[in-house]
Amino acid sequence: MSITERRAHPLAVAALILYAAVMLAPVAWMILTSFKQPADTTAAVPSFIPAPGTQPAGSVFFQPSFENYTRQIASPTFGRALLNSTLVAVISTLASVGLGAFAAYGFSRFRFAGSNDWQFFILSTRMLPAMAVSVPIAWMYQQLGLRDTHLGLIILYTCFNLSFSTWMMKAFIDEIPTAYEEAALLDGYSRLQVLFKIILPQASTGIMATAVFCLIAAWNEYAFALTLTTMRANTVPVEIAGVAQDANVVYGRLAAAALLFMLPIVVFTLLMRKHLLRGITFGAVKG
Amino acid sequence: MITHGADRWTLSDRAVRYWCILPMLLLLIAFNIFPLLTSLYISAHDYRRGIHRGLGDAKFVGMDNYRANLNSPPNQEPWKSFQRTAAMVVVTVSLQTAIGFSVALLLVRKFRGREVITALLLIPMTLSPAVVAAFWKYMFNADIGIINELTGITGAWSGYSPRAFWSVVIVEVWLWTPFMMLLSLAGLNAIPPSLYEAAEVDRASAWFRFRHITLPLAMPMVLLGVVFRVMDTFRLFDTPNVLNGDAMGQDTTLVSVLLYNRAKNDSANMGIGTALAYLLLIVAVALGNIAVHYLAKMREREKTRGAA
Repeated sequence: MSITERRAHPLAVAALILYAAVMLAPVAWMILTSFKQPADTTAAVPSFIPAPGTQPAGSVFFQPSFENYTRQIASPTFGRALLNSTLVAVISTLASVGLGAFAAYGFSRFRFAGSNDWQFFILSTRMLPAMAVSVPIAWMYQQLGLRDTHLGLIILYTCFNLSFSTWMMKAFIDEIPTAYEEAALLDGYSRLQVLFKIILPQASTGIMATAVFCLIAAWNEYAFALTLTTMRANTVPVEIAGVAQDANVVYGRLAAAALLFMLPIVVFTLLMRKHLLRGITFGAVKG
Repeated sequence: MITHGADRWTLSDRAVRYWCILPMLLLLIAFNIFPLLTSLYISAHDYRRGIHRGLGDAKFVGMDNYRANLNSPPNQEPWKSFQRTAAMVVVTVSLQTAIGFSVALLLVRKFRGREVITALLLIPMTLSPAVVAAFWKYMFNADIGIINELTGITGAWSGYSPRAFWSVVIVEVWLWTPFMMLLSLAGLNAIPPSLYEAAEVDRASAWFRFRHITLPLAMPMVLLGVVFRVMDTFRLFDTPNVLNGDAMGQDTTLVSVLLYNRAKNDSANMGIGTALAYLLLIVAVALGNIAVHYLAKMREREKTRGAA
């Protein structure tokens, strides 16, 4: 009997449920906070239970309100940051998946001198600590006029994700038998036709999974956005982290903003759960 | 190299090969090699953004900036920040691995709702560390934070408090234990059932099965996770900077945080910070290479196993 086919002991299940409750408590607290009015978020006694009507100070009840959400959505700075995040994440994802698909096909199907070395170089670019390269990149962007622009962040995130997308898609393309291509080439298809009509459609799930990973990385990125943007192109992580440093921060709105920002990516990731492992191991292991 | 056929344009194999790979390589080279060269140049100069008009005005100092970093006393920056980073790596990665693997051991057994719990437990690793850290900062607040309220702890988790280091540990463990859990689960699920059947026939004890089958066979995947976590924690910036970035020289001033603050300072010699960044790069690339070779080895093993 496989270890996976054994039934769990009830105590083990209880322990897991307790663990899950602890792990999800911060998210639950964030959701509760997002419905609180300012006085309830800064009260000496925390309130846990939403209840209609005005609640006395110091009780465990609080009166829920949607005000944090309506105000946050209406906020021009948050709206702009959300638009920036969306633009930068979506365009850089498309670019890194597009360029990466070509490169992955090239590395997968053609052997050439130094192919392995190039692949290692590509992957090692992802290992660079952002803060170790932020000064020269900031300087370079200053010269090129790319500081605090969407284009600047898009190029950087594309580079950042390209190494990853190439590796992951190569793992998917490696699995497509070359017999299809050879048959198509004999039938008079050109290499480009083979790529577009045979390889890319066959690798479509892999491409989708790669896209989700690139999107998550670009969506959540903070260090580069912090050092390279100020007013025009700042993304939501920079905006929210900045608000948290403010002495007059409205915690309910902070929580609402964080949840509005996190929701799409959580839903996305849970949908792509099956591919999660493969993305993490850069396609090395079957997920 | 583009030849025009009767009714469609075609590329030779050689052309396709280059056109596939070249755009991506050029982009990576431009945005990696060029900054690295600029970095090397700055690190050999006394460059102060507030004083010098451009890089050209900076004074050449040779290896002085590297010497300034390497010769500083061990109880001062940057060595202190390296020590803190090392401590952070050891503490967080051990906790993430121990908890993640234990939870995975529970999760491989069958029970109702397993899929749902597994999915829920993965949520933290999909969130933006900077964004969740901003909310954790509120939860760690000394006066109105829920954590002090529930645990009865009094006093701050930020600034120069000895708890500041642990606030980062808690958030990092919360964020990335799901990652170790996921890799441990993959390792456990890949163990061939026949091994357990054989152990059953031999009436091996549960401890024997765990020690001689479960642990060694799940280990490659767990180690892969450890390598990734070590690399990521080594360059950790988001959570310490958001939770506790206001003051310098405290327990949360990791190498990346120190670099960021040196780069922010217009009157400081950027060369010293850049030289330190270069030293960090060397360590990071070394770690990265270990990870990449480990991945390549795993891939080979998967291939031979698939062929067998």
